[in-house]
Parts: sequence; structure tokens; C-alpha cells
Amino acid sequence: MKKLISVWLPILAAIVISPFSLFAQSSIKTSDLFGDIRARHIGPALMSGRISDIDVVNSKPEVIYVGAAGGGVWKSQSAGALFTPVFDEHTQSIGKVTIDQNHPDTVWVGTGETWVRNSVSVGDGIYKTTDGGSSWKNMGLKDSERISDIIVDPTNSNTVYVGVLGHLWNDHEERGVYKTTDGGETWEKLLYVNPQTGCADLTMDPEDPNTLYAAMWDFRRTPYSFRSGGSGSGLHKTTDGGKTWTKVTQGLPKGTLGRLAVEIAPSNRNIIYLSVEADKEEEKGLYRSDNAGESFALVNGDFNNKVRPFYFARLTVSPSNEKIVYKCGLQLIMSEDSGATFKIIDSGMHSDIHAVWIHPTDSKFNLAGTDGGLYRTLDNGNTYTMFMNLPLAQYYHVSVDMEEPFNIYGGLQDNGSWRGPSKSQGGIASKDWQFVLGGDGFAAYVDSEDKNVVYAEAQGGEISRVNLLSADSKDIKPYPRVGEAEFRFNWNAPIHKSPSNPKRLYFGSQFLFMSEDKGESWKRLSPDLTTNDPARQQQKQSGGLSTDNSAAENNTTIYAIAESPLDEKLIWVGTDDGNLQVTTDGGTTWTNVSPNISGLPAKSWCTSVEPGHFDKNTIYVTFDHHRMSDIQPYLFKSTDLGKTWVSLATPDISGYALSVREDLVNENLVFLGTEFGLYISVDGGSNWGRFSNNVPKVGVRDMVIHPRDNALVLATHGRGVIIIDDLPALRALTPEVMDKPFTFFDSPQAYTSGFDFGGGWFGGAGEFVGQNPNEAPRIIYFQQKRHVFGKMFIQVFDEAGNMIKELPAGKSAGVNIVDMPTRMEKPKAAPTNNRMSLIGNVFGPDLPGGTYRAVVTKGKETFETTYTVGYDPKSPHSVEDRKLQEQTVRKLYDMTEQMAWVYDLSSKLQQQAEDLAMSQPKLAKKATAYARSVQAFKDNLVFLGGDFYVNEDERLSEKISQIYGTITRYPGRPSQSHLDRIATLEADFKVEQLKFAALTGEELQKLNSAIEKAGAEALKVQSFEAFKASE
Amino acid sequence: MKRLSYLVIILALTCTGISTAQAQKVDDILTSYFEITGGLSNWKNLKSMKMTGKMLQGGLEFPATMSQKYPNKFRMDIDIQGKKIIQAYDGKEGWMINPLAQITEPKVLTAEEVKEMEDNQMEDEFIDYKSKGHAVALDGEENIEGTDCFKVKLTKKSGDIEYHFFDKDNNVPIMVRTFAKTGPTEGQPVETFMSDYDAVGDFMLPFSMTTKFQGQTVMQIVVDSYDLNATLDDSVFALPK
Repeated sequence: MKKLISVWLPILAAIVISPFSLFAQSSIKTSDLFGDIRARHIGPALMSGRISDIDVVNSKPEVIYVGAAGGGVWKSQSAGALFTPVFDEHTQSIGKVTIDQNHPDTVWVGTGETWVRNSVSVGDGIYKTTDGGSSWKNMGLKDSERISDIIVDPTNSNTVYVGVLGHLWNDHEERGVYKTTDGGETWEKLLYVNPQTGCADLTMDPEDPNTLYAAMWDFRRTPYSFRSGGSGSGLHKTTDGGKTWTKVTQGLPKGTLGRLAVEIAPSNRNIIYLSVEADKEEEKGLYRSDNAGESFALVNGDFNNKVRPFYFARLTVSPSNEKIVYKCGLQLIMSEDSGATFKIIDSGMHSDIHAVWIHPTDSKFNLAGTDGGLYRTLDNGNTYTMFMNLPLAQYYHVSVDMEEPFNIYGGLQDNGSWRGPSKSQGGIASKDWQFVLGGDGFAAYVDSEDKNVVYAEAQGGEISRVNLLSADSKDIKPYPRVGEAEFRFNWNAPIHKSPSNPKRLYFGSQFLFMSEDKGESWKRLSPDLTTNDPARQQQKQSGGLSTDNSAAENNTTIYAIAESPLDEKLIWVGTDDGNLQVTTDGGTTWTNVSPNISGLPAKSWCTSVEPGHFDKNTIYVTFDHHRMSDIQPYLFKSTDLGKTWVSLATPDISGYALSVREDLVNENLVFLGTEFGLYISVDGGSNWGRFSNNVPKVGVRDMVIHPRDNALVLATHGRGVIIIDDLPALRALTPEVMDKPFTFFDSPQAYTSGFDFGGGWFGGAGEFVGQNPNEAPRIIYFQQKRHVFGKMFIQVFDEAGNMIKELPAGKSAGVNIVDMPTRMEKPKAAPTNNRMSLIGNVFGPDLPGGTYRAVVTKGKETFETTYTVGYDPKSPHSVEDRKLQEQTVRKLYDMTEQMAWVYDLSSKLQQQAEDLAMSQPKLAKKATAYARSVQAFKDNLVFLGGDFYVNEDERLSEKISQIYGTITRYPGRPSQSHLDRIATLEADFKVEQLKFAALTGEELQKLNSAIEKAGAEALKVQSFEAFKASE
Repeated sequence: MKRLSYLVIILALTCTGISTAQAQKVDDILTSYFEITGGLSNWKNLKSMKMTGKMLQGGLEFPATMSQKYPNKFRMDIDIQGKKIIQAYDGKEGWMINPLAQITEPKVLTAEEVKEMEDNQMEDEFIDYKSKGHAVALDGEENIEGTDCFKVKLTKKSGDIEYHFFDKDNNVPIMVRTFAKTGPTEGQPVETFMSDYDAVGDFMLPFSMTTKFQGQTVMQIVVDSYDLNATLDDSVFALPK
């Protein structure tokens, strides 16, 4: 028995003494640390981003689904007035969205965009929702990478055909046409040609779901070339639900084919349109079959029927008119005569169209998805309206300036380069963004001396210096001198701004250049730093059957440049063909250290270099080998200038690595951007957790840490700019903190806020507005475990020790951020039916600047911290003016509460007197007389009639409330008129208070004496203090 | 009613912790949940409840009471500076008073407006869920704000879906994910986090509830007191004549 007790006691003691340690984990997953730290999206959406597909519920055309190239799936239930992202926890690269029109809550999404430009992302299979996008399930085809088409059998929703385009960068067998007959539980491969050939398009006979046509495409990319077309390309037809297929050749070019697009007219099964990429120029164009695919004939060879098939091979035929056909292209073109002639729809819509949806009964109404967002026409394409509520910007790079608030600079896929603020009145809206430069945009930096001068570039090294005031841009590209080789610039050529010398810019072709005169001249700092492998220099031959020499396949180029923040002579350069070069003498000598990196595949593309901020021998580097079909993340660190390396990649990281940043304050805090989101390590890269608090699984191409405002700014390739403002909280996640159950962090600098009714106007829905930073005073703490049992709350005290507020605590595991009150409790006020008075009373006055104390009660424990609220030094209001305002508000606050008490007590006395009159007939006369005089007094104080809108009046109480509201809302000096008005109201109130004193003094005493004589209970008076303390 | 001591709760949780190490079936999770929070028979005997507390929204704070009576009667009273806002449902019709929106006389809610309320059952949906026509399934696990949870999917007879997240350490629900039924955000997840479970008689009930939409806190309720099996006349819920 004794033994038993001795065994149990320590266990019980442990439970009783330290209940929280019962649940403490010795090691916390990194992804569990972030708690309330939440990213904000600032767009922009005025240029939106590439749309890859659109589908609409035919029976309810206000329900729209949009698939983005890199920005996920968005749903609108309001015909586009409002779009919401519904796919954030999955890969953001979308190939196809198909609604089951018989069950519109069932939607299929094929991931992996199929407009396979150089920057295209990858998917991870096919997803299905049965609840209108609220939840999604991956239904397989996980290694398909790209899905081009999904068709649901209209007679049986469990039967679905899927066109799998498949891998872009390597041979792979998971491609072709697939079918499920059990709603996606199992899949059967119906049509397969070879490991290079995938299905680019599918179409189903509107009358016979067993008849389908499949456009097969033989294609391949490498880091330095692209090929469209090959022996595998061709059109196939089945009439038995995919069991057997016949290759359709009659009337089609005899030679090699490239990418095809095929579409049956929904209103006539015999009419089939086919867009053909052929090896002979004169055979390229639009073909048509009038006999259900027996034979085809070329009907149109217009430019847009032939241009860039890999990017534009898509046809849409009007559901109601077989003669109306749209072809996507550089511009959208439309034929109303079965393809014989086309007109260019030139209506201000962004170029590069990838998807068109036509209303089932009104062919004048269509939606078009472009490189620059989604558009709608209601007049047959004469005019298009853009949806400016899809923030799908595909940023390549991002930089910041030191303005207040800071601005963000960066360039986007096919949408130029822009500058926009990190904060704006009412949120960051389209009006806040300033255009910098056209073309595809990449890196952009503001000049260190002139905030109106920005360095930006277009694809292939077209760097310019832009003056935003005069709106002119000067080409500042370096050109080869006599005897120098042609410069090879990457599609996304790196610009780098020196951290040590504000005048210095770097720029890279195969050579590294430096300018210290705003780009007027460039000094070459290196020999060719790439492999200079001629086999990788095939840009001019790129494209396959259709030459595509756009600079997109430029290779053997410099891709990443960084000067050490600790040593201006120490410069790192990464190339797209596997070199990582370093100089320690400002460029005189260079060493390629990538061969020292064990575990790095040869010729991997170096995506970012991040020299250490604490030790100049430290370097972080990311490589991306997905263009050689390897999607593993490659992240390495060296602490000896690249001689030896350790891999920091762990199984917790998903997606190929695109960018890495070391924190500026805590050297153990490291950020990694991959194709599938943001990863954070708080232990120098040993462990990683995906940051999922409002950062979707989107490609994070670049990041910058704002050195003053402690914000991490992400350049995402599909969801615009995303900002995490609370870096100090991440910095505080040290091992010591994580070892303790509860720890306060320092509170960020905060200022009194003043009143903000928002700066937006009545724009209605339709425009995306980016979120501003949270600038409220707040306390931040870390707890190891979520708080579940027992009360947990926060009490806030001012310097005098008065409790200002009690509020709920943050309960989550990890970091908790709780906004502290910015206002005192609202005053107790008399009732009113005057709107402005009520609004005035609903808000307490701003809390004055000072130091506040927050006490967190967590079960039986309490934890205490202080935080300071200052007066914004940039504010025009002096402290003296603020003090006068605070005193004035305080006076009005007290008057409001006094008035509330006067009214309340009067009401209570009136009620008591009336009750007495009923219960004591002998006293009825006196009591009634008293009740009437109290009522008359009270009714003269407040206004309770009217309609609470335009039929309303005001009495003294309302006048006090209104001026209280007026003074409260302005944090500076009240005007003399205000002060005079208050003096008048004070005098008026004094008169009323005298009347009240008489009513509750002499007159009441008289009545109470009579009552006492009659042996009844005297009328009771509640003191002001008791009134204030009551609920 | 007897009051559960803290030690008993802790011991109960410890025991639950042992069972979580084994393969968890959804019914085990629910059984354990009812055990920890008051016992199934007590839950079944709970026929009415009045909750008094405050509601916090947009930096403002208002006294609020919420009354519920078996099977689905509901009434919420909020006091904004003396303006009494009432929303109620008596099992047949819903009504409201909102002087701030110039609705000073009881107004009957439309079918659309009443949608959310008519489905709001007094009794915990997990009690005898099969006989109620609901389906319950363990839909894997999900990490909720840093806490590993069992994700229990409740498919109601009506077809509505809710996800209840039970803290793996102790099997009490820390979050419920429902989906907006009407308006421009229809179908969007609405997440209500529960915490501050404390003893109320035989029960363990949450005293703090935080509703988030798209990660942002939109409303918080702090409960001051629960009146369990409170005497609530049907007239409390009915449209005033």
C-alpha cells in the first residue's frame, strides 16, 4: 500500500501543482508557432493577372468560377460584383474549371495551367467540391502536373473525362485522356500516345456523350528551349466512350502537327472547329468539319488563328449559334460566319486571351480571361468591362522605399512595373497604384536620391530609368563595346541595388555590370560568369513549329546578384545554368563555388542569393531544378564563403525553392519562398513550417524585409503583394521563449489613433481594396498550448491604476496578438431618439497617450506587461492642444453621465410616485402632483419622439451628446466656438441641476414626510455613484 | 448540482489522453466529449438555457442575453445605449426589433432571413445524431491555430455541413466551422472558436466564443453566466401580439 502511494503521489502532485505542464510539449512544430500573426493582401487588382479558365452555372449565370494561372480558383455569386478565393489551401496553378451543370455545387478543378509559358507553375492533380467550393478533395491524377480539360457526362455525373496535358519538362506517362465512372474514385487511361504527348483539348458531342474528340500535343520545354509539335500530335475521335479511338486525318495537314484546339458547336454536332498548328505556314489556321469529323478543311489563316498556339490554342463556339466562334489569341477574334471571316475585338481589353465563356442564351454576353484579368461584354464585344476585384498579379520581384508609409515597387507578368503604398486611407485601392513601365515587369527600385526616379525593366534586359513626374523613361541598357560578345540577358534579368552605396546599381547579362551614375554608364565587373554552353543558347530557334523568339528561353545568363551588406567588395552571382560565383575583391577575381555544394544537381537554376547580415562569410542560396523535372526544394547555407555547405531543406518544405531571406535582426529567423508558399524557420533553417495564415500556396518569387517598419513583403506570382507586419513577434520566437508556457513579447510602437470612419467612399462592390496594417496598440504573447479550460481574459489599467477595460484574451497556441483598447468606455447616457446624439454617445473618448498595464489572467495564474501609447510626432496637433481636447472631452463625458443620472433618477422617482399614488389613495394627490412635476422636468431634458431619422428634435441632453461627439472625433484643439457652446450648455445644465436639486431635495422631502406620516415607504434616491456602478 | 473539482477534470482529461493514443473512432471522440463536459444523461436532460454576457463587435461592447429552449426556440437581446435589439425564433416564425434600423415594432423575418435560425437546435446535434438523421464522420485531422484537432464532419439531415474540431489532447471542441447560408458570402466558412471551458453545475461549458471570418475576428461573446434548465415561457420567444 505504501509503495502504491509513493508511486502515485508524484504523478498527482505534478498534475495538481502544475496543470499546464501536463500538456507542455518539449518540441513545438514550427508551423504551430505563428498563432495570430497574419499576412495581409494589398493587391493590386487594377491590372489583375492571367486567367486560365472560366466556367459559369448555366442555370444561374451569376455564379462564376475563375481559374487563375497562379492565383487559384475564385468564385462569384453576384455576377462578378464580388469574387472570393475558394482554393487557397491548394496549388494555385489552375488548368481547368468545370461545373457539373446538373449539380452546380459539384465543381471539378484540374490543377496545373496548360498555357505553358516559361514561367508556368505545376499542379498536383484533379480536385472536386460537392458543396460549391466550400471544401475540396483531391481525386487523383496527382502526378499529372497539368490538366487541360474536364468534361462531365451530362447524362451521368459520375462519368467524367479528363484531358491530361502532363509534364512540360520531361517524359512522363501520366498523360492523355482519362475517364472515371465512379465520380473520381478510380481513373482509367483511355488514350495515350507517347511520353512526350499529352491531351491539350477535349470536346464532347452534345447529343452523344460517348463521342469525343481529343487534341493530342507533342511538346517539351527545357531551360533553354521550347518545342511545340511532333509525331505525337494529332486529333483523335472515339464513339464508344473512349474504348477505341480513331485518328482523324482527312483534310488535315500531312506533315507534323503542333498544338490543336477542338470544339464542337453545341447546337450542331456535325460542326467541329479545329485550330491547327502545322509545319507549313500556309497550312496553319482554323479548320472546320461539317460532317462530324469525317473530314476537315482550312477556313481561315488570319494572324490570330495562327499565333503562338502553345499560348492561345482555344476555341469557344456559341451555345446557341453554330456560326459564332471565338478564337483566343494575342487579341480575341470572333467570327459570325462559321470561321470564314473574323473580326478583332479591340475594346481596350488586355491582350493575350486564354478563355472565353458565352452565355447560353444571349451570345452577345460573354466573359473573357486574359493575361490581365477577367472582362465582360454585354454588347457582342463592342465594349468590355474589367473586373477590378481579382488580385491575381504575378509579381517577379519586389522592393521597398523609406517613405512613410513605405511604397512597394515591382514588376508583373505581362503587366508592367508599378509603385504602390503599403497603407492608404480606407485601404489600398486601385487609385493608389502608379504605373512605372510597360511590358513584362520584373525588378524595380527607386533611386536613393530622388523618389520620383525608378529603375525598372522589361523582359530580356530592357532596363530603363523612369521619371514618374515627367512620365518619361530612358533606356539605360549596357551595350557591347567593340570586340565584346553579344549580351545575353535572362527573361527576368537581375537588377540589384547596393546595400552599402546608395548610388550603386548592379545588372546582369552573362557579365556583371555596375553603375554609379544612374545607369548612364556601366562598368563590367566580371568575365562571363555562366557556363557559356552553346548548346543552351538556342533562343532564336525556340518554338518548334511556330518560332517563338521572345527572350523567354534565353539561358546561360546571370539570374541573381547580391552584394554583401557587410562588405561591398563581396558580391555573389547565381546563374540559370548552375554557377554560383563569388568575388571578394569587387570583381577582380571570381570563384564558382557551386561544385562545392553536395547534393545539388548539376546545372540547377540559381534562383536567389542572400548574403548574411551578421557574418559576411555566411550565404544562403536557393536553386530550382524543376525545369529538369525535379521539383525538390534546394536550399543551402555556407558559413565559409561557399567552401562548404549544408542543405537546409527538410521534408516539411514543399515546392521548388524560389527565394530566401535572412532576417535583419534575428539571425535564426529565415524565410523561404517556394512554388507552394512561404516557409519560416526560427532556428536557422533546421526546422521549417509553412506560414499559412493568409498566405496561400502561391509561388513566392521574392521577398524584402522593410528595415524600419519590420515588415516582410512578398512578391507572389499570382496573388500580388502580401505583407506580414509583425516581424518583431517572429523575431522573439527564441528557444528560451518556446520552452516556457507563457511569455510576453515587446509591444510595437503605437500612437493614439484619433477617429477613423474609414476613407472609402460609396464605390459599391467591384473593386479590390487592400488591407492596411494594424496600427492599434497591442500586446503580444506566446503560449505553448491553446488555452481551453478556465477563464482567460485581459484587464487593462491606466497609469493611475484605474481599470479601463476587460477583454477576451487570445487563446491560441503560439503567438497571440490582442488589440488593446484605444478608447475609454462609452459614457452612460440618457436615452435619446436623436441619431447624432446616439452616435456621439456610442463611442468613448480616445484614451490619452501614456503607459498602460495589461494583466492576463489565465486560470489561476496572472501575467503582466506594460505598453506605451504615444502621440504621433507627425501629427499636426501639439500635446498642449491634445490636453485641452482631452480635458474638454472629459468635461462633456461627465456632463453626459450626470445628465444620464438626472434623467434616470427622475424616471425612477416618477415611477415610484405613480406607484404610490395607486397603492396609497390618501397620498395620491401629492404623489401625482410630484410625479407630474418630475415628468415635466425630465421630458424637457431629452427627446424621445420622432422617427429616428429626419423627424427628430433635440433637448439639452442631445445638445451635450452632440458636442461631446464633435469634440471626441477631433484629436486637436477644440475651436473657440466649441468652447463657447460648451460654456452655454454648462450654464443651461446648471439651471436644470438646480431644478433637479429642488425636486429631489425640498420637494421630495415634503412628499416623503407625508409618506412617512402615512406609514408608507418613502421614495428612494439612487446616488450618482450607485447609478454609475449599476448595469 | 454537484460541482466538478479541477482535479477530477484534469484526471478525466488525462484518461482521455490515454484513449487518444489508440485509433480513434468518431463515436469514441463524441462519447469522451460528452463525458468530459457533463455526461450524456445530463446533456439529454438539458431543455433550456439562458446565457448572459456581453457581445464585442468592432471595438464596441454590448450587454447581451441569449435564451434557448428545446427544441429550437431562440431569442437574443442586445442593448445598445438603451436601444433594445431583439432577434427571436419560436420554432415557427422569426422576428426582430431593431430601433437602430428604424424597426421599432416587431417585424416578422422573411424565410431567407430565418434560414440560419430555424436550424439552430437547442440540443447538441451530436446527441443521438443517427436518429436525428444526421451523419457524423471523422474527416482526418487539422491543425487549428497551432492545436492538432480531430476534424469531425457533421452532415445534417438538411444536407448542411459543419466541421467540429476536437482538441486531440482532451476531446473538447475548440472550433466549429459552418458555412454562410445567405448573402454575398454564401458558402464561405465561418469559424467560431470556443474556450474558457468552466464548470457550470455538472457541465463544462465555454465562457468565451470568438467568431472569425476569413481569419478576422468579427464577433466575440463573453459569457458571464449560464442559467441551465432556466424557466423560459414560450411567450418569451413568440412574436409579441
